[in-house]
Amino acid sequence: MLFLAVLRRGLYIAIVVSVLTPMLIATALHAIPSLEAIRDLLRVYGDTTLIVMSSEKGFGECYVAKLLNISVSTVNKVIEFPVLAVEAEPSIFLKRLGLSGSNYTAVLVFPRDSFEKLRMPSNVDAIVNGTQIRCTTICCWDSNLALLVSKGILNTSNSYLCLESRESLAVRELESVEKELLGVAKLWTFILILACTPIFYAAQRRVVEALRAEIVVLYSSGASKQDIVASLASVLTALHTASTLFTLALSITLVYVSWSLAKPFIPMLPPSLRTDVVYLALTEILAGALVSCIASRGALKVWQASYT
Amino acid sequence: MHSLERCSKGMASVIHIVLRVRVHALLFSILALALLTWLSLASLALAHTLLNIYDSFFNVDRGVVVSSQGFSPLTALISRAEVEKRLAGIKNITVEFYLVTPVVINNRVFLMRSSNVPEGCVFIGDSVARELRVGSSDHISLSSAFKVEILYAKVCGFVKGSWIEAPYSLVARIRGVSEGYYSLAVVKGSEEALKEVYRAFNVEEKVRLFNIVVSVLPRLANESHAKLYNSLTEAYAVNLGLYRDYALYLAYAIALSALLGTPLLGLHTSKSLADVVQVYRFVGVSRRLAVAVSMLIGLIIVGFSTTLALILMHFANIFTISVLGFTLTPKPQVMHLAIVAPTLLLLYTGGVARGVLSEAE
Repeated sequence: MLFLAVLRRGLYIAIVVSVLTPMLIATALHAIPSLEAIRDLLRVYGDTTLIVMSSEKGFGECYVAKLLNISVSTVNKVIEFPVLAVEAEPSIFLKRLGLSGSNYTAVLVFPRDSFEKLRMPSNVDAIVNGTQIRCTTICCWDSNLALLVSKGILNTSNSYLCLESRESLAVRELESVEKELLGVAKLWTFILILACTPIFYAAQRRVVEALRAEIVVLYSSGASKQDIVASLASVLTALHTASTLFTLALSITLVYVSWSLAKPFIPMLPPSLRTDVVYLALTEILAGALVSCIASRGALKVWQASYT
Repeated sequence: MHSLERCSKGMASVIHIVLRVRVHALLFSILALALLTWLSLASLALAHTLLNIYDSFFNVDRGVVVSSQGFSPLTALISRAEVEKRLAGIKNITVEFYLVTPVVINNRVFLMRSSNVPEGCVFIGDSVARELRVGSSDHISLSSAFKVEILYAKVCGFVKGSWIEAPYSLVARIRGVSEGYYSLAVVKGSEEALKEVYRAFNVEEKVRLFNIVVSVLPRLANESHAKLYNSLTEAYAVNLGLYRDYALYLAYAIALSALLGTPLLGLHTSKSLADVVQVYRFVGVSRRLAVAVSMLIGLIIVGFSTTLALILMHFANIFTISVLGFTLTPKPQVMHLAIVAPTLLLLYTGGVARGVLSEAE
């Protein structure tokens, strides 16, 4: 009877209005264009390999590596300079960098300027962490430090050298920006739903006040106060849930319709809806259900007002 | 005069009674409105920070920026010689050239810009240094995000910020550009001098001179075309198909629609004031006065909640975004408050007045 009265007299409008704003904003914020839409644009960014140092095994192909100062003894002098020591099979690793590595066991690759300045012989003795290693010298790579590649030079290290494609790095950065934006949007909408709880309460109290006559009829026909409060709470929860689901559907339609209408005038990427919006809808339904328990107690006040 | 005095006395006594008997209902509204106003202000402030990200990084302030067509300063390039040639002969201006590049350190991307730093050295932003746990005289490896290159530099000092400063040669090497090329130039000077700068780039003088960006496009058929933008961020974002103004309208729409439910709260406030209003109507207070008093109460509630929202805005800085080592925080502007507070006042007191009118009938 209460539910029919609400539907017949259009009392659900207040509840629909109260739930509309948070749901509409949540949907709009969770429909920002996804990275997938611009992934094709990133393909033109190419497949160049980047060399990245990392304190943990990162993305791409990773090798144990360390920045070290090594001493190199040539024919008549000992020179100390910084190297990037990499624990790897030289032939495989140097091939990945586009350098000809051949079949040596330890290779020292120099930047062009220092290779020419130092007039390096083809073989040198390098002292790495107190151990002497016979290295073959190679020219050249683009850097301001030398590269030492060998197996067994670094048994343990807390840093790695990773070879990652340029596209993968760009995708990773864009993904992190997308994650950050969505994280803030989620937190903001969550607080908005909590802040709107008093508005849900105000809307539900309006419905309870408007049902004054029905409450009095129910009480006069023998229904207990508890039963009336419980039925009101169920009606309000059902109304709130239905309104939330309706506004969710309406918001999704609105977002896609406004995109398709604006598309011919403004170049825009297509919206892509995230499933997180469902969790926000569930939060809103839960908040409304809790509020309806308090708002339905307003029936007691209505009853008191009618009999005093 | 006499009736005005009676009216204000009447108002004061009604407000006094309302505060004594209905303070809990008013507190409920104040808290709800404060939260909504805070969210509304925070969203506008965050959108403002995001949409002016480059302007604050380069400290454009009241300068004119010369750059080229590109997605961001990280991909745009201008020739220093060409810009200097155009600006030759203009007095009382200072020109700062910046080259910016993304740089990968410890598997994270940061921004690096050219500065007056000794060769082989870098100055690290304090927040970057904290994140990478590097101290003075430490050595760090810098990887290019454009080519197969890893470089090595000594940390010679720190700067306040979230970026890394390095000598031009190092930045150019990591970015992979030849000598003499920069991302952008910021020209500063008097209003008259800046007008001459516009003429040098064949841009028509506009009424609003400051903060306008001149973008010099690459030479097409031996001619360079200039375009004007209202913000540095817009000049770059437009090439990605993002229009700053539309993004701003969306932010305003979201911020203001967060307040759309407040008339319902206003109606609820009027409901909780109903019995007080009825008593006053019974003793002869006019309907107009009853509505005026409730609107005044609405105004006080909006005042309190806006103050509370501003306090929340200052202390609860929870809406932050980390991009390229930068932590972007909402920076509230007076303009945002000037839009949000009147909207709230209109919607909430409108709800209160509507409720009291129907109660008084």
